[in-house]
Amino acid sequence: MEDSYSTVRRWEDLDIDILVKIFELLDIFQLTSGIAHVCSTWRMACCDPLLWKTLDLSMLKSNFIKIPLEPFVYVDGRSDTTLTRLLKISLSLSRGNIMTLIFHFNLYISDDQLTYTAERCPELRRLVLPAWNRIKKTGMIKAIRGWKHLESLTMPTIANPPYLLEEIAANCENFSELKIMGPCDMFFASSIATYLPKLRVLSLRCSTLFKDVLILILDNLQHLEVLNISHCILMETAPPPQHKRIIREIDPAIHEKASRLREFLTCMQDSCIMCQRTRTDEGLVRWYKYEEGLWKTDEVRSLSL
Amino acid sequence: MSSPVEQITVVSSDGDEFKMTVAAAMQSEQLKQMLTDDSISIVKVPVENISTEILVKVIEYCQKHADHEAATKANGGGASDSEAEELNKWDAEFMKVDVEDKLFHILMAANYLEIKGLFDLACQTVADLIKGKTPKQIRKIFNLKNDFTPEEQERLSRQHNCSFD
Repeated sequence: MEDSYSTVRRWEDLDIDILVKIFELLDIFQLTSGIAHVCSTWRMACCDPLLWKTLDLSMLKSNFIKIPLEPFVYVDGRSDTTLTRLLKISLSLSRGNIMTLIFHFNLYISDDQLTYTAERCPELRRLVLPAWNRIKKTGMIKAIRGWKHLESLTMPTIANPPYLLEEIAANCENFSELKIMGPCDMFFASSIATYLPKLRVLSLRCSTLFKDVLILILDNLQHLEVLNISHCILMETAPPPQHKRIIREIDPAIHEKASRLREFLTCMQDSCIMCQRTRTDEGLVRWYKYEEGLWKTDEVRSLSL
Repeated sequence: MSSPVEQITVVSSDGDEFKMTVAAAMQSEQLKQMLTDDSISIVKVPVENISTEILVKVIEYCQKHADHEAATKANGGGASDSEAEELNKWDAEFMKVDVEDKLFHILMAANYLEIKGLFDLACQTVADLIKGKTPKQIRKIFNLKNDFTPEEQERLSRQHNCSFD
C-alpha cells in the first residue's frame, strides 16, 4: 500500500474516528444543523453510535402558557415544530442507538412526538421525562411496549399509576430504577409494591411524604437497595383539627427497617436550602423558580444528570 | 541502566533534527513510553509523517506546556486562575493557523504522537470552525467535495427539511 504521506493528505482523508471526536464537542443543535449534509464521510461520522448514546434535549423548553383546562398547558406551534424537527433529525442520525433520553421539565412533548420517538429508540435504557401533560395513556403504553430494555424512568407524579407500572412490569424485564418528581401517595406506593416488587432504586426527593407511605415502601419492596427521601417533608396523620403534622425526625423504627438498604438518603434540616424550598413550595417544587439545572441533581449517583 | 537522558532528538520527515527536553517530550504519550522504557536507548526518534514545519509547532506546544507544568509544580500544585487564563490565551494564539494545511497536520501530528492537550485543542478549534456554518460554508473551509448523488441529496433534504446549502 502506498505510503499515505507521500500523497498530499487533506481534510477529506481525515480518519473517521477523529471526526467523531470532533463531533462529540458539538451540542445537539449544532450536530443536527447540517453537518450530516456536508459529505458522505461526515454523514457517516454523524451517525456514529458514540454520539448518540445519550440524546440530551434538556436545553429545550416549550414555549407555552398555562391554561385552566386539561392538559393545562398550551404549547406554541412553532415551538412544537422546532422539537419535531430536532427529533426527526436526531432520531434519523442515531440509527436506533439511543440509550438515554433526557427532556426538560418544561418541555411538553405531545403524544405523537412521544410515539415517533419511542419507535426509533428501541434500545432505550433510561428515560427522563418530567412533563406528561400532553401525553395520553394510550401513547405511553405504546411507548413502553417498544422499550423492552428500559431500566430507569424519571417521571412526574401521576394520578393513576397502575396502568403505567403494569405495562412496565409486563414489558421491561430489567426495570430497576424509578424517580418520581412529586409526591408519592399511598396509591402510588402500593401500585409500585404491586407491580414493581423487584425495584432496586427509588428517589422521592423534594416532595411531601407521609410516614405510612414510607413504611409501606420499606416493608414491601424487598429488593430495594437505594431509597432517597432527601429534603422531603415527612408527615403523619393527626387528630383533628390538625389532620396532619410534620415529623421533625425519622424515628428509630424506620431507621431499623431501612438498615437493610445499601443507601438510605435523608435530609431534613431547617438550614438546608433544598428542604426550605420544598417547604415553601408545599411539597411540589417549582423548579422554574430556581437555578437552571437544579432539577437535574439527585443524591443517587445513577439518577443525577 | 543508561545514564539519565535530558534531551532527545526528533527527526522530521524532511530529515531535519530538533532537540527536545525530556519534559517537553513527555507531553507525548508515544515519546513518554519510549523514554520510560529502560530497554530502549534513545538517540534519535524519527517521526516520519511529520514535516519540519509542523514538528516545529508541535515542539513549541510541548515545551510551553511542559514549562507551565513545571512552574505550577514549583508553586505547590494548583495553577492560579490568571496563569490558567494566560495559558489558554497562548493556546488560542497558537491555534491561529491556516485551516487547510497547518491545522490539519497539527491535528494529525497530535494524534500520532498522542499529545492529549494538543489533540483536544485542535479538535476544539475545528469544532468552533464548524459551529453556526451551513454545509456549503463548511465545505469551503475544509475544501471538501459534496459527494452525495442528486438522488441522495433530494432524499436527505426531504427527510431533514433543511437544505444542502
